[in-house]
Amino acid sequence: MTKILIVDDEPHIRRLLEETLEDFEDEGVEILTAKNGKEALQIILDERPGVVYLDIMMPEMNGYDVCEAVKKQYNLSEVYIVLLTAKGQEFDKKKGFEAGADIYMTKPFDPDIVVAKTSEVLGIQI
Amino acid sequence: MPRIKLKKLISKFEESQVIKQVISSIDTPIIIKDEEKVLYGEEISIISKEKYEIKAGDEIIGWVYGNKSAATIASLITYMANSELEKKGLAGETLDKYREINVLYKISKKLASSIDLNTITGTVLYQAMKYIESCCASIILMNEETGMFEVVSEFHKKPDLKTLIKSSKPIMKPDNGIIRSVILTGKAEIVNNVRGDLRNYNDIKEISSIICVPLLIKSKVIGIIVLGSDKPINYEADDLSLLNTFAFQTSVAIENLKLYDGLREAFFQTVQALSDTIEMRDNYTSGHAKRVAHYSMIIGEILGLSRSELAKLKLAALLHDIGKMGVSDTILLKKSKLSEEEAAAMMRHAEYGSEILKNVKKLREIIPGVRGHHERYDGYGYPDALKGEDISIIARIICVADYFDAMTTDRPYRKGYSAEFVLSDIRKGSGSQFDPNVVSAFLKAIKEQKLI
Repeated sequence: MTKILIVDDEPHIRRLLEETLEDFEDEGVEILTAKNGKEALQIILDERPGVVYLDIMMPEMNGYDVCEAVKKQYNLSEVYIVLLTAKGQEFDKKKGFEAGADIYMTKPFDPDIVVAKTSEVLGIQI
Repeated sequence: MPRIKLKKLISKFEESQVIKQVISSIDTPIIIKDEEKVLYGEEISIISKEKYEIKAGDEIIGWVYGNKSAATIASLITYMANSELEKKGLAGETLDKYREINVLYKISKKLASSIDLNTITGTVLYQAMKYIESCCASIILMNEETGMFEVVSEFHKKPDLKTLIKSSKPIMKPDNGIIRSVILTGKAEIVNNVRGDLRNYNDIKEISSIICVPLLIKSKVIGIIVLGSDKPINYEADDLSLLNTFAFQTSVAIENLKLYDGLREAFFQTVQALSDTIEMRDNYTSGHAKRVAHYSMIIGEILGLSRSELAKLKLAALLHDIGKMGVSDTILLKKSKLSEEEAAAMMRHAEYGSEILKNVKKLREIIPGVRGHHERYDGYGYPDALKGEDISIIARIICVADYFDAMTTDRPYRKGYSAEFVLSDIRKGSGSQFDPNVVSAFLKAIKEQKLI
């Protein structure tokens, strides 16, 4: 079963991403959430989601570290990771790239791009 | 319209144990069901039990079966469902705003780096049609020279509703009453029944709804953006607000474009005037700078110089003799041969040129071209005795163009030589006086008759 994981320490961001990706549930995709990096890593290892929307600034393990663990330590290349960074924030593209992230998006995210990207990665048309 | 699925709601509550705790505090068993199946409880005989509605807004999304306590549960779940409905509504609104923010960010970025009208109008109309339902969109601008308003760009959506094509026959024109009204009053308008509007006397038959906003610069109307729909939709305040923001971006971009074009024009006209001052001093050099610029540009194109290098070349060629301002009339206009001293003074015009230009920041980049146009490829030129590739390519090109024009035109002290004679001279000087590549490019230009 295809899964999407949303990781952000702010509940309203998780909610907004869930609402954006709602239509995927009708196509049989399960949407999971996590509120910190530690939780996120555990869910990724247990559930193997196809796409992860991963916030960077989080307590208990930030986004870079989660990404690095998933891609470098556990070598899960099939988990597509989107790093979320706030607009204007000092986003270290190099660091993100080195951590193994597939792509990054700035917040506030463009809902249409989130849907399009998820569609593309999971191979599911909405 | 956000909708609540009872199934999803229940699974959320189950996670937080809320339902279980509340229900376990009730003594009798209850069943929660939506239209399809049982979501909670066991499907034993439900015919004898009462059922109580669960509502989200006006919609019934399920029932709770049981005795009177079930009514309380139904109310509780209804309350939670309505709370969810409100949250979903807020989320939807927020996401719409996120979309808008991203579009505006995208547009600002693109317009800020745009210095041509087509890119500006194309970008704005494309994004506007993406976010506001419409079948066609147009930008009308005032023509500065005629004072008339004209359609600059109109796009139509193709039947597949995904592709846009630029229309050659605009539908929404400045003579339409509604559009004219916006132009005259500077006030935006939504007309959701175009056919019924009395001002629509020029009859746009195809359009059912129109949304039109003015483009303002310092409170003056310089144009409008208008979107039209052939379907009977109702444009609202939200659409107007978004379109107005696009309009603001567009006005700023157009204003910048005008300023930029104006500055560029002023600059070139000034350079030309400066170049003409030299021509004024004697009839013999009349048109010389222009011809050298012309020949140089053709050589530069054959050599594959970039657009910015070509621009520099043109400026340098027009101003290559500006240093002659520092040479006295007696020397400049002398009919007989120059003495050694006089010749040395004349040669200083190359240095004088760079002296004059160094005070104009924008012209500093052409100094090597102006200063070096009398250098020789073999290093025996002046003023700096530069050699080969050390001489700027612009200087090497002007050198050949200048030589050709100078030798073929009459001077105070001699008549002009024939083109064939000078060309053979140039060939002989290839590698010594002149850069061989420039020479062959020049000869190619002559052969292809590009120069005369």
